[in-house]
Order: sequence, then C-alpha cells, then structure tokens
Amino acid sequence: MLSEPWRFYFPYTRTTGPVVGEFLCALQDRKVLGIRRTDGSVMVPPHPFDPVTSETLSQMVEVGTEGRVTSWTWIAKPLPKHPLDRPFAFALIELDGAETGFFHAVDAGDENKMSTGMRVKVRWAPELRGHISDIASFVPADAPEPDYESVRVEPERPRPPERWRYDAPFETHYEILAGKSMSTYLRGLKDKKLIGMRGPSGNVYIPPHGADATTGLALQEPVELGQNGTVVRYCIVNIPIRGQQIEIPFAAANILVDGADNTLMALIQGIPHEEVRLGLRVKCVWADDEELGLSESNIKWFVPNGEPDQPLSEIEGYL
Amino acid sequence: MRDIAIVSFAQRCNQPDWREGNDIELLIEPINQALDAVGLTRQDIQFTTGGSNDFLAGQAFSFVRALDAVGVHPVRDDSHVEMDGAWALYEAWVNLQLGHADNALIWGLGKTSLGKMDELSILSMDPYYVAPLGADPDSVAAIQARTLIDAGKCSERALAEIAAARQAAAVKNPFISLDAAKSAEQIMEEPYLASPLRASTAARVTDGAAVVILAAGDEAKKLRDRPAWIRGIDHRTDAHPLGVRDLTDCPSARQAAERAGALGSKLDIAELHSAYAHEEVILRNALGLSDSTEINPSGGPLLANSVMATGLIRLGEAAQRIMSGEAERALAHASHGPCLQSNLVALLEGGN
Repeated sequence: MLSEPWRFYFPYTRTTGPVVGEFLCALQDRKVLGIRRTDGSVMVPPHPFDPVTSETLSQMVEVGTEGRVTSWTWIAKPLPKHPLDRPFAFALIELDGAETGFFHAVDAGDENKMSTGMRVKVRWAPELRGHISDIASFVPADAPEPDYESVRVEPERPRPPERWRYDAPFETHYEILAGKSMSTYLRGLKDKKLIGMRGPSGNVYIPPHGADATTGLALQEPVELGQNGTVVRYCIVNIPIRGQQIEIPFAAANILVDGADNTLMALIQGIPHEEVRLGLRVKCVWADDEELGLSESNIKWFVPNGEPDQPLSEIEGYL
Repeated sequence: MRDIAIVSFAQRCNQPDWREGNDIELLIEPINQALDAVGLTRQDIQFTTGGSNDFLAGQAFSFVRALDAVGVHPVRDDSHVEMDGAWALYEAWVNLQLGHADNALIWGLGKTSLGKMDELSILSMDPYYVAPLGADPDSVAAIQARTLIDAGKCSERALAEIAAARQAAAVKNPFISLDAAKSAEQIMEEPYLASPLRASTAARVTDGAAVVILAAGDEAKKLRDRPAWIRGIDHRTDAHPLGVRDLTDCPSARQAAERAGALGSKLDIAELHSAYAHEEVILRNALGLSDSTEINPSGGPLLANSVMATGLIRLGEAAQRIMSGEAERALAHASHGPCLQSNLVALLEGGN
C-alpha cells in the first residue's frame, strides 16, 4: 500500500476581541487581568461572557501574579508543541483575587516539587508580545528571579487592545495512505498506463478511490484503459495561482478516458484554448521518463489526438 | 413522538494504525454488514448521515469522499456532522421524528493514524489561552483525574482496577485488538503518561468505523424481532473554559440523562464514552449508575478510541445487547470536548 508524508500548515491569524485583547496587552505591562462575573466572582483568564449565565461581561479586574495550584499533571516527556522542552507540569492555578483556574505550565524542575495547593508565581518571558506565552510559565513562589529583564516588544503595526491580533500558525504532519485502488492507479501512472478499477456495478473508475460510487461496494479488478479520451467538461483558467507552471489562459478539462465511466481532470494543451470544445478527442502526454514517480503529475496534460470529435449524443450523460 | 429503534450495528477493527486501505475502504465493509444483517441494500435507505473530521483525514471535505462508500444512487437526503457519529445519529433520530424518513443509515469514521492526534486535538482547545500552550488531551484529562483523586472520589489504584476490568472485557471483543489483559498490579507498574494517568488508564487511539441503522415504527419491527427502541435521547454541554468547571462532576451528562429519561431508570448495562478510566468514575456518579448496572461490557473506549466513531460504537454496542436479548434496558453515552465537556445520552429498551 502506497503512503506519503503530508505537511499541513494553517497560517491562522487570531483576532481577539476587546476582552481577550485587553488581557493579552496587559501581560506586556506584567499585569494579569480578570473579569467580574455575574455572581461577582473574578474569572482569570477573562472571557467576554459568563460561562454559566452567558451574560456579556466587561468589568476587568487586576489580580495577583501569585496563586495556588488546584490541580496538575507532570509531563515527563514534553511533546514538540509543549511550551517547555524539559519535564514540567501543566496545572490549573487560582491566582490571588480570582476564583477560577488558570491553565498554564509550571516549571518546577521535578515532580516531587509539585503538590496540589502549592504556591506559584508568574515567570515573565524575556520578550512580552501581548500573547499568552508572555507568561513563560509559573514557577514555585520561592523560586529566584530570572537573570534577565523582560522587555516589551511592540508589533510592527501598533494596534489598540480592542483590535488586537497575532499570527498563530499551526503545522502538523500526516502519513497519507493511498488505499488499495489508488495504489494500483498510481503504480500504473509510473509505467505510463492509465489503470482504472471496475466495481460491482460494472462501472470503471479512474482515478479510483476505493468504492464503486454507484453501489457503494468495494472496487474489484484493475482495468488498463487506453491513452485516449473525450473532453466532456472544461473551463478556461484566467486566474494566476501560486506555483502555476503554465501560462494563463489555459484549459482544464474533465476527460472521459476510453473505457472509463467517470472522468479524469487534466490540462489541455496543443490547441489554442479558445478552440477547446466538448467532444474533442484527446490523448495523454506523459512527463519525461526521469520525472516519472508515483504521482498524478506524471500526466503532463492531454493534447488533441487528431480523431474527429465524438458526437455529443454519445457522451450526453457526462455533459 | 414516533417509536424509533436501532435495528442494526456493525463496526470494523478499532486497532492502531490499520494499513489495509484508505478511509473509504475502511468504511465499506461495516456498511455492507449493517445492511446485510437486516436484509437491506443501500438503495433501501432513505437518509444517510455521518460523523468524521477533516483534521483527522488531513483533507478538506473528506466526508464527500466517504459518500462513495455510502452509495449515492438513487439520490437521497444526506448530511454530515463534524462530530462523533453519535451526534449524526441524533440528527437522524430528529429527521425520523419529523417524518422525513422511515429509516436512516449513520456512519462514524476515525482513521486516526494518518495524523498526530495529540497535536490535532490541540486545535479543539481555546485558541487564545490554551491551544498556544500545546494542551494535548492526555494532559488535560490528567488534570481532571487529579481533581478526582484530591477530592477523595477515587485513587490511582481504583483507576488501574477499572482499566484492568475493561481490558478483561476487551480481550473477548473481536473488534478490539488486544492479546492479553493486564492486571491492576501490572497497570500500577506502568510509567506515567501524564501523572496520575498511565498508558492503560488513558485511551489508546485506534482506527475504526461504525455503522448504525435506525428505523421507525413498523419498519423497525419488520427488520428485527427485537429492535433496540430509543426511549429518549438528548445532548447537553458544559462550559468550555476548563478552570470555571467543577471537574469532579459532569452536570451536562446528568442533564442529558434526565431529559432522556435515563436518570434513576433500572439499567442492565451502560456503554460509556469514557476515554480515560477516571471519566468512568465521573460519569457513574453523574448518571447515578448503581452497582447492578454493568459498565462497558464491550471493553469500552480505553483500548479502542476510534475518534469520531467511538460514541456511535457505544450506541451500537448497547443496542446489540438489547437486540440479542442479553439486556432489557441500556444507557448509551457519547462525549465530545475536553474533560467530558459535551455529552449525549440515550436510553435504549427491548420489548414493544
């Protein structure tokens, strides 16, 4: 079964709204703010709504930078996305003046130093950027002060707390499994063959994803198709996209490969784009031998094969 | 209200890193089996819906691919929730209640091994205060476990005993891959994963798929001698911020159970979506389960957390025992979100 590493990158930007923004900006002044709830108690970190009554909240209250651990877990082997690369605790901390638990890391050095009820204080990060990580971690209340002075770092474009925003990219990695049918198809492409799969309905699918979409049952046998097909749908692309290899405008088409019952998407070349039409007969052009891999990019594009157009009545169900 | 029942259930694998096919290929077989068991074909189904997650699949609109396995001819009503399949079942139940269909096929699909669950789960946390710290599900659950221990509601030993009992049941379940069950003593010797949780008291994430068929009234009776009637079903949510909740309790689960009519009901079994051993303690208390109720006879999710299918499997496992006559009345529970934040409870019953 073929598989391939796959990187996913989400370039999120977070807009905070006024309450979260005020909290994060106050961290740059080494202050921790909470918000007064409907019942008069103070919630830290602050949310713009009361989690019980759902009422809108607005009264910000400064609380202490020391507090008490109400629960914790020791992380002996930190994960890549954890805030510390050495063993540490995640904990809920009730700051002095607040009645709720603040989730953060406690850099205690050793699990034996951790206990429910222990006193901890904020350890400010070297750079204060208006982000939750301005609190580098909490440390035991009697820990010595760091050997650095925290400095405030302003964003490139200054903005007020109520319109606070920051980049929050997220990256993670997958190992994508092609599946049985797709593996057969991709192996065929490496040998410059178009191999589809036939399902119980009798239909042949290319590319095959695993199921016979008509019946929902598993695809059964590989079927080698020819290299020719018919354009049954197309569009002319006028929009430049990043990484685009060919000049715009160009035609992209759904091609009904001879012997297949569904369509393959590919580019059309070898003909002025304005002459691309429904029923146009085309053949597959492969990438150069040294470029052939287990990839759909092996199909460079399709070009007219010189045969007369297929009558539209014969491809009616695909138009 | 219409009488609506679970009439069929099938599941596949629940094993770590299943590599025999892609997500579509994982789903085909349980759909076939669930239909075959009641003599239906895909063409007989009037409404289809499923639960899955694009972040798990690493692909946008991955549920559209899954439709290939569900079968789309003839064209019918179809839906999808980006949640556990149990919530898709709730949607199907509502649809049947409204009279829009007389039967429905519900699927839940979790091919978790494609990506990194510990990293992807971070994206479900508060994006300003918690996610940037890389709060993974085991760490957050461990904090909840300690609140229970500190409150004197359980001990690490008690958690190990729960895990050992579920492993003993899981060994007998052909849909959970486990060679030998560990004893509580052996579990206590495991190193901490995130203290006080160990590998066996935390969920093992697996690849799996589940399918349930619902039918209303006479259609249900026609398909099964003994359908598992859904006497009540409800779902409720607690606050998202971890620090504002009493983590030793689960009010939303209790409320859902109350509204489903399951609270105080004499239950033979309860299938709980307890991905961590301590969640079973919280749910047992919140749902008021007595000692006479057998909990997670399937082995539960501890060794078979096929995320997005796990909750639907609870409904299916509970229904299976009613359809087979082993149980008369069962509670099925599904959960979503950190520390049992969101909960669904169904009361299932045999008889007419």
